Amino acid sequence: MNKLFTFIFVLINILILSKMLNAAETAGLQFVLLTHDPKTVALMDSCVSQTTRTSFPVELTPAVNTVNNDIVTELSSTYLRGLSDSYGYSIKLTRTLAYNGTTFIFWKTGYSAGEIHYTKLDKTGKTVFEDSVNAESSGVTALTLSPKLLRVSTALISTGITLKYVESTLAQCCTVNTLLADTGINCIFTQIFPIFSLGITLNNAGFNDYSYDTIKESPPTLLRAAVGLQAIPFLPDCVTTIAYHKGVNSNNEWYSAGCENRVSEKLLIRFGLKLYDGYTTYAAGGSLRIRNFVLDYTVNTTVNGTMMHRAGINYSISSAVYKETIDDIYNKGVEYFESGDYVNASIMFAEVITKTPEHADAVRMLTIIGGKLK
Amino acid sequence: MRNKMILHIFAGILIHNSTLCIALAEVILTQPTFDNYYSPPSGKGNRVSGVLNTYTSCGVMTKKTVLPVNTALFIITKGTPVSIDPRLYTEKQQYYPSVKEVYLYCTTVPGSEVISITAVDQENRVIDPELSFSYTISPEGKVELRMLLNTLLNTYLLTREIIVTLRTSTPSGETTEFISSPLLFFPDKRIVNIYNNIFYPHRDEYFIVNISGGNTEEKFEFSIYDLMGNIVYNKQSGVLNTGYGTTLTWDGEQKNSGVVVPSGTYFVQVLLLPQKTEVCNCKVVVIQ
Repeated sequence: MNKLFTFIFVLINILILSKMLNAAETAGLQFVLLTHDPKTVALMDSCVSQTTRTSFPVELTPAVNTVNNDIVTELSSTYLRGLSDSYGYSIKLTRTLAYNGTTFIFWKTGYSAGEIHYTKLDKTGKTVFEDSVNAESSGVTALTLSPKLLRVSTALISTGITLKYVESTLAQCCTVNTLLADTGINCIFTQIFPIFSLGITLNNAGFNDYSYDTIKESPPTLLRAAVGLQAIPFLPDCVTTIAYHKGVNSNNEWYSAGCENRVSEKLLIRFGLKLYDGYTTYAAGGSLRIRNFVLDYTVNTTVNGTMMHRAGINYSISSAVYKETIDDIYNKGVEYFESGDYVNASIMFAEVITKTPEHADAVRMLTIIGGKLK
Repeated sequence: MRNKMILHIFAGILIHNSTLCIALAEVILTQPTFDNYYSPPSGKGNRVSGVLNTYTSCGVMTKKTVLPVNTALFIITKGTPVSIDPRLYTEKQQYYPSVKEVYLYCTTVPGSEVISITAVDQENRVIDPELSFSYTISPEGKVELRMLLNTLLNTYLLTREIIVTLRTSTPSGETTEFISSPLLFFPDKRIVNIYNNIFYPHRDEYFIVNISGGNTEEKFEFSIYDLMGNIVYNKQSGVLNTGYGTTLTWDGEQKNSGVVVPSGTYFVQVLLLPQKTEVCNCKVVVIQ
C-alpha cells in the first residue's frame, strides 16, 4: 500500500511540475483559495505546517495524518456571511483504516456569490439587456489520502495527496470543470522547543488550462511553506504557526500567522493575521467541544473593514483502535524518561499528542523534557 | 440690434470654456439695459428673439441669487430656438443640487398677457405635474416667471433637462413665444447606477459605476476586492462630481500590473471622501 502510494505521489508531482512550466498567463478559479473551515480561517491559513495539535486543514495540506489519527468520521458544515452576502460550506467525511493507519477524507466545499442584477450597455451607452442571475456558483469535490505517520530518526513525517474535481459557473452562462491536485509533506521534530514542525505544500496544481469564455487561464497554484511551534516552555498550551504563500502562476504572495490556545479541555481560542500587499487583516475565533460535537466560530476582517462570519458544526467519532494503544505509548515514554533517554521519551509523548491532542499529561512531559534538554 | 444679438450668442458659447470669456459676457450683458435685448414680435404666431435672465433661490437662501452668467443666459430666437448642448457648459455651473424654485425673466410688448406656460423634459414629455408656475407681468411688459419644483422632481431618479416655453399675447393679437435654453436639474439624493456588472474584458467591455446627484465637489475612492478580501484595484476619482455625475470605470486590470484579473466574482466598494462613507457596495463578475 505504501509503495503504491509513493508511486502515485511521485507521479503526480512530476505531472504537476511539468504542467507548471507551460502555464497560461492568468491564474483563474480563485474561489478554490477561499477557505470555508472556521478553524483554518481563524489561523489565516497559516496551519500548513502542523504540529501535533493544530487544526484540521485538509484544504491547505493533504499531509493530515499528524493530527487526525483519533478521528474516524467527521462531518462538518460551515456557513459564511460577509462580502456582499456570499455563502460557503464545507463537509468532510473521514475514514482511517484500522490495519495500516492510512486516512481517507472525502470532502466537499461549495460557494455561492449570491444574486446579481445585471445591466448591460452597448457602446453608445444604451441599455440593451437587464436581468438577475446568480453571480457565481462553484464547488469542489475532493478525496484526500494520507498514509500512516512515518518515524525517521527523531522526526515524524506525514505526506498526502488530494485530488479535487472543481466545478464553477459564472453568471449562469459560463462553466469550467477541471481536476486539481494538492500534495504536501510535513515533518515534526520533537527535539526543538520541544516541538517544531516544517511543512511544504503545493495546492491547486492542475493538469490542463481552461477558459470560461475564450481566454485560457491556469489553475491558481500556490506553493506554501510554514513552520509550527508547540509546547514552548512558557506557553505549553499554545500552538503558533507562521506561513509563506506564493502563487506559482501569478505574482501573489503573502504571509500569515496564527495562534491557537487551549483554554480548557473543551475550549480552544484562535487568533490570526495576514500580511498581503501592504495590508494587514485579522481573524479571531474559537471551538467549543460538547461531547462528540465541536462548534466553531470565526470572524475575520477584510482590508476595507468588512466582517466575514463563519460558523461550523463538527461531529466526530473517536477510534477505539487507537485509544487502546495510546496508554501503551505514553507508558513507554515514561519508561524512557525515567531511564534518562529524553530523546526517545519525547518521540513517544509527541506521538501520544498526535493521536490525542487533548492528552495534557503528554504535553506536560514534553515541556519538562524541553527544559531538561536545554 | 441684430449685431448685438450675434455678439451675445457668441459670448454665451465662449463662456463654456474660459473664465475670461465669462467676464466678457458679463460686461456685454450688464452694459446695455435689459430691454435692449428684446426683439419686438415680427408677426402673429412667430417666435421672437430675446434674452432672459434666470435667478434661483435655494431653500436655505433668503434672497434671490443671480446664477453665473452662463447659466443665466437664455437665448430666445426667432424661428427655431437655439439649443445649447449643456455638456459644453462648465458643468459645475450647471448644477442645481437643491434648487426649490427658479425665476425666469423676459420682456414682451407692453400690455401683453400670458397665454400659456409649459415645461418639457429632454424627451419632450410634459412635466407640468411636477412643477407649478406663477408669474407677474408689469405694464412695461416685463415678465417674472416663478417655477416651483415639488419634491417629486427632486427625488426623480435621473438628471432632468427642462425647457420652459412661455406664450404671451400682444394687444394687437400676435403671439410671442419665449423658449428657455435647457435647465439642468439634479436630484439632491445621490443616485448610483451600475452598468456592465458582468463583463468580458477581452471584448473591450468595462464595468461602470455612475454616481449622480448629491453635492458638488465630491471625490470618491473606488476599490475592487477579490473573494479573499484583497484589493485588486484601487483608485480615487480625479474628477469631481459635477452634477452630471462621476463615472468610475474598471476594465478588469489588476492594480498597476497591466494584467487582467482572473475570471470570477469581485466586490466593488465606492467610498465618499474624505469621510469614507460607503455609497456603493456591489458585485461584479469578470469572464474571460
